Amino acid sequence: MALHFSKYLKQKMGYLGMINLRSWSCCFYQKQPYLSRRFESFKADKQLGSLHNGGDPQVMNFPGGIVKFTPELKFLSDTPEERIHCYRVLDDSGQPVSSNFVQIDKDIAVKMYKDMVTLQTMDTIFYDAQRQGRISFYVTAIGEEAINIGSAAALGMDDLVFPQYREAGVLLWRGFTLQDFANQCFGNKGDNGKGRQMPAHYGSNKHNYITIASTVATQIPHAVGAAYSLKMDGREACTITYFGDGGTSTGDFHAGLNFAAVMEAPVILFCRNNGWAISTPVSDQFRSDGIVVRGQAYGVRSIRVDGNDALAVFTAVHVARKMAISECRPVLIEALTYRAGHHSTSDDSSKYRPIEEIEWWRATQDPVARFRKWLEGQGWWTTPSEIELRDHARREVLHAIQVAETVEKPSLKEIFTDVYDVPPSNLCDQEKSLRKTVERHPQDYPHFLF
Amino acid sequence: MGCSLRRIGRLMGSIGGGRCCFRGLSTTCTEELKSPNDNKPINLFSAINQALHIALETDTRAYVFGEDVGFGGVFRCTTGLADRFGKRRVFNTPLCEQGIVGFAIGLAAMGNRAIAEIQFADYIFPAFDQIVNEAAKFRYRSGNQFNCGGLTIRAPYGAVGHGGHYHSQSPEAFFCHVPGIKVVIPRSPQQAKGLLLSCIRDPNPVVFFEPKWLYRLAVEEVPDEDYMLPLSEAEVIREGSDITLVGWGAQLSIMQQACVEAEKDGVSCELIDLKTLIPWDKETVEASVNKTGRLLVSHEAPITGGFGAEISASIVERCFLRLEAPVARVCGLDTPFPLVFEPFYMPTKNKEYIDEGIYLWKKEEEPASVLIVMSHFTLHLEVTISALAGQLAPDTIKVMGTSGKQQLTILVDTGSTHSFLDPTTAKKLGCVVHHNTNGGYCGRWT
Ligand SMILES: Cc1ncc(C[n+]2csc(CCOP(=O)(O)OP(=O)(O)O)c2C)c(N)n1
Ligand SMILES: [Mg+2]
Repeated sequence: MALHFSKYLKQKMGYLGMINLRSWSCCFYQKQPYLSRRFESFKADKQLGSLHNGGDPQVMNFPGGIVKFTPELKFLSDTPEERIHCYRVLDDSGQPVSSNFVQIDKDIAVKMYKDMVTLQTMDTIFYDAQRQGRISFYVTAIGEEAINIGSAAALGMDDLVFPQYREAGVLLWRGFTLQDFANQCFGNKGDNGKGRQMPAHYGSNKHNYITIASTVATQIPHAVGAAYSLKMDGREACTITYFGDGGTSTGDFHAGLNFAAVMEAPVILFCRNNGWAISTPVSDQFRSDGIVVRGQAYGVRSIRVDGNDALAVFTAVHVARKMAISECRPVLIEALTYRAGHHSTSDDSSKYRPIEEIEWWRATQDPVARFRKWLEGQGWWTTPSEIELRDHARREVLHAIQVAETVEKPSLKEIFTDVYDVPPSNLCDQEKSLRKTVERHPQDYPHFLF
Repeated sequence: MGCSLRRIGRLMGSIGGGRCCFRGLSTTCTEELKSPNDNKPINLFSAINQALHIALETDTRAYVFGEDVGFGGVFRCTTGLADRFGKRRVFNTPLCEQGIVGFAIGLAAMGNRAIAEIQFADYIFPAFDQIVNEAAKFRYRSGNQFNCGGLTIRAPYGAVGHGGHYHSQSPEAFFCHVPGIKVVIPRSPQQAKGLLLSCIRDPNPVVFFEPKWLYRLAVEEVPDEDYMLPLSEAEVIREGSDITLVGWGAQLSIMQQACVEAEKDGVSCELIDLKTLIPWDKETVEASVNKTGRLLVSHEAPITGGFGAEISASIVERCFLRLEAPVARVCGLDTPFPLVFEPFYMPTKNKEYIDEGIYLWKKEEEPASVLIVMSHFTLHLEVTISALAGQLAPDTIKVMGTSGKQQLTILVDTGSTHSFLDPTTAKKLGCVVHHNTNGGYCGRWT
């Protein structure tokens, strides 16, 4: 129907139709020449009247493009007849439901599995460490391991990551070590962030992983701006930004999505729709069919995937990345999943959702277990390797914590560095006076390197 | 991230050298509230909760909403409200601060009491435009045809021991720069209940910052009944004669400790809770400074551009001739709020008491500082400064100010390890030297 309509317009429109058909064509998934629309110059029309409808009273070339008139008084429905389907590769028992996915070789698949298990192990132990009072805060990605690792595995290392806070696995995949994670959580000298942020606020320049802020969704427009830079520099890379269902209510999400579309930025907007924003269920968050439908509203290609299926996530990101880079366009991915842990160590989710619900998701929808079944089916994984892996991961995480705990804190001067490129005089003065205070009242202060 | 306060005690024990006990203080009752017998000791979040119950009960056009408000809020301030008043009056909003405040303005403009919660003051900035350009100007720009006076925005603010950049900030000064809104900060449960009810019922939009450190820690008797405490009235919560201390919110308990410490050394401090930051009660502060001759302001927010600067400037304008010392500000550092460095960042008791002001009243055998008063400074200024600089490490010389036209006062900190100014040398340089052994800055400006 759509193609037919475009043909019809072409016949009717003459040269003006050419211009407008270009902007139509993006809806038909035709490949755009690089930078085509952005730098096109428009000529003033001389004979407005007839050109604006090409002589056809049934259509009008409004400023946004050609629109067909209808005598029908019909409102668009608020809800689709059927909800957008969710792309999946593996069923609950880890069996492929089709061969419609990007093949991955054994090494990658095994690394994916190992990283999923390591992430799960780290989350469990760090969470306990917080409960024991050894670190002040933690946030897990339990239930979202496939999203973390599946997406990370489909990206290139040059792709920049603009994370929320539940994507530690992406960093793990890229080679941030357990010691690096532990150092950040303990805010010690080994922390890239110099102990300034709460635990789980990682960042690593080396790994193209922009430092996390607690503020929800602020990173989305950043990812778009950075993607635009990649495009201008002609780089074979894209950016990806992660955010939650709650994050899509912010102004920054809408600004980011719209900017991405208008700037034709090679960015993957990855929504982890895990059903909850702290205690707020998605029904209090939005009334659309999730997030995926927002894409079309903004002129952004989008897909919904099963977030507990690592192969589906991998495939969607892999293909999205290709489109983003080769066609210079944003892609929105909505991964459906469930936040199987508490929001963070500050939260007790049994206050607002049934424990049975949590248990059900944990027991039947564990993305790690599903992926393992697939690996076993491939003959790439066995029970002995499982025992060894889990044992190894556990020992490594515990060791990282033990080490991190003994590493000294960053030195006092780091309070004043990095506020600006160099400390201005007010900060120099404040450092001096702080040092005097510390000398006079050492009992008031923890034992830092003064 | 919802930050629970459950663990503060333990954490503070380890990082803060037991500072938690200072925070636990709740301040004294106002006279008029002491009567009823059925007062129960409750904490600050429960006091807020009581106020919200009363607000909803006494006005059917009152609404309470914000992120996670439905289940009671991440700090439990809205517990039980949705059950009691229904989900149409107490509800979760989507995660969007600009939406929350914008929606609240519209609701308030229709004659309702819109009580909006921003989960953390750190997350109020997406709503800044709505507050500054919309709420604050709604009345003025329409020639008083419209107003959103029923708007109250509640937000937990301030340090909490482990909040880092985004769960610790004190952004009050930004809002104090906005004519058209009020900014109110309570210090204790009793104050919180009475002030919040006043804010909700005030015919102007109000931003109400709640000291989250005190949500659980501050416990005091709070009358069960519906009561309101006046806005724009500061309160002298401790009387004294040597110096006036002004603060608000959680900082007051730190300041109170400083007062107690100072008292041991014979320094009598007057402590004022400002409560309403704009429009603020200059008269009470002015009267106090006219009595004591000295002022110290303290807040957690960074010192530069903080509300302390406004107080300082106003009091210098009003009390210049009465001031015996420069106004001191003991505040947060000019840095983002740093997690592991929190104890260093904070305007602590010892910074306040010893280092930044009150110290000078402390009687000591050895003068820790020498005050030099030079006559005819215009003639001698350059010569003297450079001569002093020859004797001392430059950072120990602090020009304290000038008095009228004749004198320059220089405070030389001889307690520093790098230098020592021998008073004889100073005299040789043409200075009148006062030791600080007899209290204060040794005499008045003349
Ligand atoms: C701008 C802003 N407002 C509020 C918060 C407090 N907060 C932290 S996480 C969160 C919920 C986020 O939910 P969602 O986006 O679904 O991510 P999820 O935690 O489920 O991964 C909220 C309200 C915040 N961090 N930033
Ligand atoms: Mg969520």
